[in-house]
Amino acid sequence: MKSCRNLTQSLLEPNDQLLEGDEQLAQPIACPSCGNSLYAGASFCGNCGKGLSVTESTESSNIFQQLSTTLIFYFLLLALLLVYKLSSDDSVELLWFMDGLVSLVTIFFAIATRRYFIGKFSFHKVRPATMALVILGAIGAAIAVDFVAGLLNAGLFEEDVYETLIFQDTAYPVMFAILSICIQPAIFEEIAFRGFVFSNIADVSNDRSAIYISGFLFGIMHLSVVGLFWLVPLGLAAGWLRYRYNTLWYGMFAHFTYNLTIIMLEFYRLGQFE
Amino acid sequence: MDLNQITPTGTRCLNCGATVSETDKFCTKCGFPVKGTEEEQGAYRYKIEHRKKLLKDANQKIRRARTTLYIMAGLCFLAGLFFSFSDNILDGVVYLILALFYLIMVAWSNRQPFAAMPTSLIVFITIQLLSAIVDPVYLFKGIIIKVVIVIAFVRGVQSAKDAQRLNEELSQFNAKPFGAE
Repeated sequence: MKSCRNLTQSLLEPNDQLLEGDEQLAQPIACPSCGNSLYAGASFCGNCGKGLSVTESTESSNIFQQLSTTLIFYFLLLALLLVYKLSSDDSVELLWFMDGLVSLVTIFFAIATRRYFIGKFSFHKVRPATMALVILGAIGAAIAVDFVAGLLNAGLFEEDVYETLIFQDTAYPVMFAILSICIQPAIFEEIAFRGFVFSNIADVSNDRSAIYISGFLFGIMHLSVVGLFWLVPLGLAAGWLRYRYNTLWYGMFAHFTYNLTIIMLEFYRLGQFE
Repeated sequence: MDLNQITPTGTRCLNCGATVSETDKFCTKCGFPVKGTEEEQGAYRYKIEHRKKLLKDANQKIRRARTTLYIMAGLCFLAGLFFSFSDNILDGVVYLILALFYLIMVAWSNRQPFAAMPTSLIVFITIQLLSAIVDPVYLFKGIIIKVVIVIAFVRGVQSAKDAQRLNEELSQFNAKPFGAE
């Protein structure tokens, strides 16, 4: 069974193996341009002068074209969220419709950029101990943010903000809240921000920029100025997990656990479980 | 010993000072045509000088975008103070947070222009769109200044990327990154 999994693994992600392996192994010993044998650590071929590590490009490529995946997705998502905020209709049906629409858009982008997802869903990168730490961290972060947000909301808006009120009139408030607040974002926001947005920026620039920009976009997208104080750090943390472990699973489980803890605390305060 | 570990012996490269093997026509450290004609060596030097000039231009555009960020931070700070003193605490806090955000972007753009510039651009556009929802007229207030700000940021993003690429290429030629801040 294990060898079978390894085989699928190697078939699925040839690029990953090459990147993670020793880079010296991947480098040819002969010059790719003229075939002259090269010294170890040479940056240029001694015979033809060809650069070996960085490709020389004469004209500057258009950065906005390269980032088009990220930019189009972000502004499309923003437009959808703004239309939703504009409509004074706060029925649960409209919320579900918007959730469905956002999910569909995300799936469309994910399919269009499917090369970014090769190996990102493989389970063999997931270590139970790390996963336990990530989940504990998410619970801790949720409790801390819940406390700080409670203080801020009471101080600034003089009222409590409840995310789950919209589900109170439905047949199964807890179940629908979990579906809409925990499961949907954990899957689709992660596929978007730790999936194609992250990979797109990493492609154009480097991993560090990808962590920062995807984290900020994730925070801003929630359209809450005060919320930026915890949403941006959370986005950065999820981006770091994606960078460090090269998988989407940690981010998804952390996201799910975090949101679940937040709404469970809320339900507890609302007396849902009494 | 690995065969590839043999160190080349021979003359020194005129460009970077690395030892060049007598059989090599090019320096393996920086690509300088050690056995090339004067024209070829001139072309190599021109290639570096050209990139240094491009990098200088890019850095200037990044500086302009950074100045824009300073101005934005200042304006948001003043607006924050104004609203705070006219008993509109909520708007005051929002503007003060924005001022803080733009200041963080200034500091960040010194270290990582390519991460800071797109973030600033997107935050600015998002805020404009959000404000337009509350009051559509707001979008057209000071539209010229807003367009100037967006252009400065757009150039900042493109220049930050160009600077990143040029720095990589220049370091490959073993030439000192020019105008690096």
